[in-house]
Amino acid sequence: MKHQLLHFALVGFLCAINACEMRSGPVDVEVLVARPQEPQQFQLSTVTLQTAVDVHQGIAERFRIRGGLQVNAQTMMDTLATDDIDRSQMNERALGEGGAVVAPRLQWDGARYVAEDFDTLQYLTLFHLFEQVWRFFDEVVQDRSIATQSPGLIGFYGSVGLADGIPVPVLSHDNAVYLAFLDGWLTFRSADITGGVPFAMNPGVVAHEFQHRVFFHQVFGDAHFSTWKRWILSDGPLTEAGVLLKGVDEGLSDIHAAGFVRSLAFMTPTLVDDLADEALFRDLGGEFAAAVTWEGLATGFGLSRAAERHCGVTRDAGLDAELRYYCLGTLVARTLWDGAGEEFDPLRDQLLPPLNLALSEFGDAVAAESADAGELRVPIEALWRALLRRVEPSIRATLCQALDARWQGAWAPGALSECR
Amino acid sequence: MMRGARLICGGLACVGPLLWVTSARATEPGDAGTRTGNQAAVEVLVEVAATPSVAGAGTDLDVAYGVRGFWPLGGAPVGFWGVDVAALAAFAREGGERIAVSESLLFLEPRLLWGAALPLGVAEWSLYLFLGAHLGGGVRTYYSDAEPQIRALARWGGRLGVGHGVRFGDGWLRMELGGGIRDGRPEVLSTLGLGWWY
Repeated sequence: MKHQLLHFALVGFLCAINACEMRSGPVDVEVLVARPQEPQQFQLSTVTLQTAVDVHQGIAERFRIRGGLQVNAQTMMDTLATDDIDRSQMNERALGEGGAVVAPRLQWDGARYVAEDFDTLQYLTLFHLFEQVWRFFDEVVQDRSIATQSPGLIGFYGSVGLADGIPVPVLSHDNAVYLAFLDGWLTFRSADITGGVPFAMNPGVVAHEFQHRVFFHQVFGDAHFSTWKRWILSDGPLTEAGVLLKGVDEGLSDIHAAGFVRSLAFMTPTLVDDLADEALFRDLGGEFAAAVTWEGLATGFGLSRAAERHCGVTRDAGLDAELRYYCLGTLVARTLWDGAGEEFDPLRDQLLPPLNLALSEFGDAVAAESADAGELRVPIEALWRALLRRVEPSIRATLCQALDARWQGAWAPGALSECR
Repeated sequence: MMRGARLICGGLACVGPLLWVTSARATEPGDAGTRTGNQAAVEVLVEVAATPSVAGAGTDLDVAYGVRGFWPLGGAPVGFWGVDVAALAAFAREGGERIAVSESLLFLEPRLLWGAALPLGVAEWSLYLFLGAHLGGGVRTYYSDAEPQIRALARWGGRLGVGHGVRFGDGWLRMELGGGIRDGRPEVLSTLGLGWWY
């Protein structure tokens, strides 16, 4: 009894000076979560970090969170152009000094850690979301690529700079991204967060970014790294194939995010104020998504004025195309949502796992056609065919209907033999 | 952060001999300029404290405003002693309109000072070291789509540093640089005070 009292007294003292050893999981923490049944509403809640190795230093079993990581884009482009490096060497170069150990301001209240400031609340929320999303991709999507099976790196409050020796970051507004250069994610710090939920605290955004890693490894990865490299290094504005590839990437990220959150409007809590227009064409249940077709994106036909401003003639390559592949992404995502019968359970259980398997076959097709053409080619029908071969007959039927309704003109009639 | 700490240590190492020299010249017992006697000073001040960023790189800045009273205790064997007490308030809010965390704080900072004064014609320049603690509390508020959650918070710490001030008649301007511990974390701070003697 005396020893127990001494033990409690010692632990209590250590915790009072923030030195107690409750660092590794399971660790209870307070984070920002979407309300159950109300994914648009967010509140504080206590969750358990199941895989924390050291919550004070951002270390989990499957990922590390590092602070202040800066990736220099032009330096990486120059490195890719001049050096014959493979993917892992590229990731090592991008990592540079590897950022800094995060120093969250945690307070142990006797039962859980609570954040002492906004930055720490964002850090804890991000830690929790990556745990949840990782489990989703492992258990629900059943991804077996490097993306899910190998450790990941998250740069908390990182930045994308122009080059070594130029410290001013070129991208540091509130956002979250996956960078293939780094094979990791960056979240950005912002002094001007909008009235919405910050990107890194939105579960849909984290799932969206996670799928980008899956897409990169399934479609390119080590096997077709040279295809990716040639495309990244190609000069000039984004070509139609480039828009299409990025559109597919964004669309698949959106549908996985929707499946994870079980909400078609997972971006809406974040896309407010200056970004509100984007919510018009990112909401998979919205007016634009309901009307969008391949032809519509080419001609503006059937699109609302607001959507046309952003998405009209999306497939025309040009400088503006950089912003328009999200519109194409909505077409991809909405097609898959139609194919799932507009239900989340079939989407998660019957469509996303075969879609994941179809990606590597799509990657093979992209690599083969690009090699033949000497430039990027994106045979979009190869993705759909690979998927159609892998889904249940009931899903195949609804997916074929959706493809027929939305993708007229995208490929030669009868090209999808699986739909006959 | 480490670079800042090294700068302060370097600064203190330089200040020690300087303090001794100026003390020997100007603040022999019975000749402590205008600082001894029963005068006291009151000042308004702004304090900027830098702590390591949560991201582990760079610093976060916190600003506090307050008033401070200073009482000289008379001559020390070398230089003079004094005490001062500041009452400071700070408010900070991070995040956006919808998701945010704010802090409202009040804290007291009692300190012990040891320094020397050097009369310079119509003015008097003084240089001193300070050692103090700060204690206080306030509330931290978490904003989300639910009702704001308000929680009590405590503030504690200790600080050590160097300051200098110039007195013109009854007017008084001083600046300080220091470092210490706040809530278990290191900090570097700078203070600017403007006051008067009575």
